[in-house]
Amino acid sequence: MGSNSPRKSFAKRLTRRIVLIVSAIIVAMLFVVAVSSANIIEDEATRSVHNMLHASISDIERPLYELEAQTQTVASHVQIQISNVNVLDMISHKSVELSKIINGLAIVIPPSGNSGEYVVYNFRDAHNDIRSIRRSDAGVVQSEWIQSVLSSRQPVWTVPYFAIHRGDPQAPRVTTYCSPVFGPDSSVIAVVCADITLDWLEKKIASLRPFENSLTALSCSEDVVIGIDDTLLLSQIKKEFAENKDLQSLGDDMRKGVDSVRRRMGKGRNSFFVAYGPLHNGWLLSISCLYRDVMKRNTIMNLILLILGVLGILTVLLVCTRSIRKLTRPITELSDAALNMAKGNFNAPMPAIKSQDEMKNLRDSFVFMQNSIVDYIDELKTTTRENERMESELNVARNIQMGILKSDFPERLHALMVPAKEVGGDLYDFSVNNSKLYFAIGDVSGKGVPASLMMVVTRAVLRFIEDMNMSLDVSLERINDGVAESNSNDMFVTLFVARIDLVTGQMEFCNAGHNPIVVIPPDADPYFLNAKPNIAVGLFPSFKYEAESVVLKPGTRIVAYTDGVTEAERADKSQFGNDRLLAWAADPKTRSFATSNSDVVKSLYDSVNAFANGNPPNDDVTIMSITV
Amino acid sequence: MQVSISSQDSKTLVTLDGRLDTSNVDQFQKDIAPLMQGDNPNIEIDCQRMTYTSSQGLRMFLMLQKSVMARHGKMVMVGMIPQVKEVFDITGFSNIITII
Repeated sequence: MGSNSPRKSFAKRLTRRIVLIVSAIIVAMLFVVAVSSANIIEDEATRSVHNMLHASISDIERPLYELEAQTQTVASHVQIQISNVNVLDMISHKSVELSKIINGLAIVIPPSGNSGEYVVYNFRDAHNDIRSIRRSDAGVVQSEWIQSVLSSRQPVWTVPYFAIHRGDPQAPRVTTYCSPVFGPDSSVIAVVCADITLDWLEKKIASLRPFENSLTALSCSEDVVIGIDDTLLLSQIKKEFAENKDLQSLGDDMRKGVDSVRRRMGKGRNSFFVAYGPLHNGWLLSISCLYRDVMKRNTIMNLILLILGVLGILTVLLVCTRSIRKLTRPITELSDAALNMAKGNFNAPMPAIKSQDEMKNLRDSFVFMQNSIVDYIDELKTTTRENERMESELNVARNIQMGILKSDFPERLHALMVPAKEVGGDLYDFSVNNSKLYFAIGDVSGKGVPASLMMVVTRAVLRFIEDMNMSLDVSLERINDGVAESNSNDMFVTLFVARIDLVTGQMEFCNAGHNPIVVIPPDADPYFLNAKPNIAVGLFPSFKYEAESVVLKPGTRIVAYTDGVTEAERADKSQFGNDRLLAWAADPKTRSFATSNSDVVKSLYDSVNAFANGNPPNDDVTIMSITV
Repeated sequence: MQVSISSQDSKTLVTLDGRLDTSNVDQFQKDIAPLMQGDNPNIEIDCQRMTYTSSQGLRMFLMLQKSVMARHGKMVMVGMIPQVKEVFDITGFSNIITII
């Protein structure tokens, strides 16, 4: 695996995380801006369309009001001149001639008494010439509008219509204001009908297109809608209004004659809003706009925002990638250097870092660690060399120590010394001279090298005992003096020495603080020999030791040992102890004459080891077996 | 081995708790170092809770005893359990250290 391309690069992860967070923030911001701008644009569009509606209604009503006023004036003249037909004709003619608004004017006199109906009508033709029509048999009075005026006695606006009654093929589309003229008896004596052409109105309506697909309509009646000239489309719209609940309620609201705005009509792409308002004559102007047209501007803005957002994210990505890679390059380099070092190249050069930051600290720590490791390895090499040297020297010392302990055992005696470390502090000695047997066993306090040095000193002074002419207590005093003389460190040696007359069985012994030896008589239970402890050797020069004596039956076996036997421990710190030692001594195999001393020694050593069960010994072990 | 040392009137009371063996004899030597000096050499050692001592431990008590004697003081060891007392008896240390 290349150290330069870890599977999940820290720099990449960091970059990814930062870019993710920044992207999320940008997207959220764009979303908020898009939503609020959509709302603002919608509100703004609705308001402006509503304002446009109001202005347009005023614009449309102005000529209508003017026409109403002029018609009223004509009506007042008609009232005065009702009986003079020629004057009425002139009034009609002049009204058309003088007014800029009135395109045609009819004075309709309903039949009364024995005189029939009479109609005088002047209008401008396609060439702008005024033409006059007088009729007395046209049945105009029977028309819906005149009847409406006669019965309601109120002025009436007609729905727009084509003035085909003028007999002109290019008759314009007009609407007519019909106003009653009252006689002295308050009866309707005439109806004045003024025409106004609607080409201006059609143009006006057509010009009201705030958005591309806006639909502006002036509904004058169920069937006459200026702005929707296509009858098929009109019937379609009417059908939709009849079937769709929303549109039905919209229609109801529109008919109430209050101006308002209805938002969120229709669905999806075709959702729209409507601004509508009534004219004073009951007509209804409405402007419908598709939201998708309104939002076209917003869509463009959103697109720009989106592009800006993407550019922003890309910039962050680029900047993050470059700067994070630059910032983390030292880590990669340090990692390479560390790997190099781990391969054993402890002098691997560390990357140079110029910045004074954590990276520099890390590098300095690495350099420090590198130096420490190099130093430590040097030290370890030295120590190992030193240890090896000491170990080999200790092995030599062990050989020397074992060499000064006798190993040419006679049949009557066997001994074993096993140090806990390379060298030990236990010792034994023996000699057989004629019928006399001498033995000694000792234990220097502590273990290891200090104990072994004392052991060698003690072993040397044991020679005094071999002098059979010297009494045992005096011998021990000499030994004590000899050890004490060379003991500046408060070390001490426990020692048990004995001389046995093999003929009489008498054993003279002197104890210097050593563990009691085990006596195994041929015909009785084994026991610990009761011996005066005196004091361990080496502590008090000139101490007066007392020797004792006991007679042993032939066939008696003596087992001497050091505390490495009784104090051998298991892992749970329980000790081999005196009881186990006595039990071992009472074993028939131990007691049997057939068992050699070397087997007895081995048997006890095995028992102790079996007891310790692998727990390392913490003291030297010495065992000695003698048969009397 | 826990060693606690407290002063009482004219003597120093030392309480021992646990085993004294090869593994802790060096620490023990450091623990009792303050007892090896000073002008109040009388020491009472409470051994009730000392469960074991090796021969190296005996050497520590011997050194302490010698130090106390050099300063004309008195050292007593009290409450020793039989197993520990036996070690002192066998080695003859009972003859040179006062054990109550």
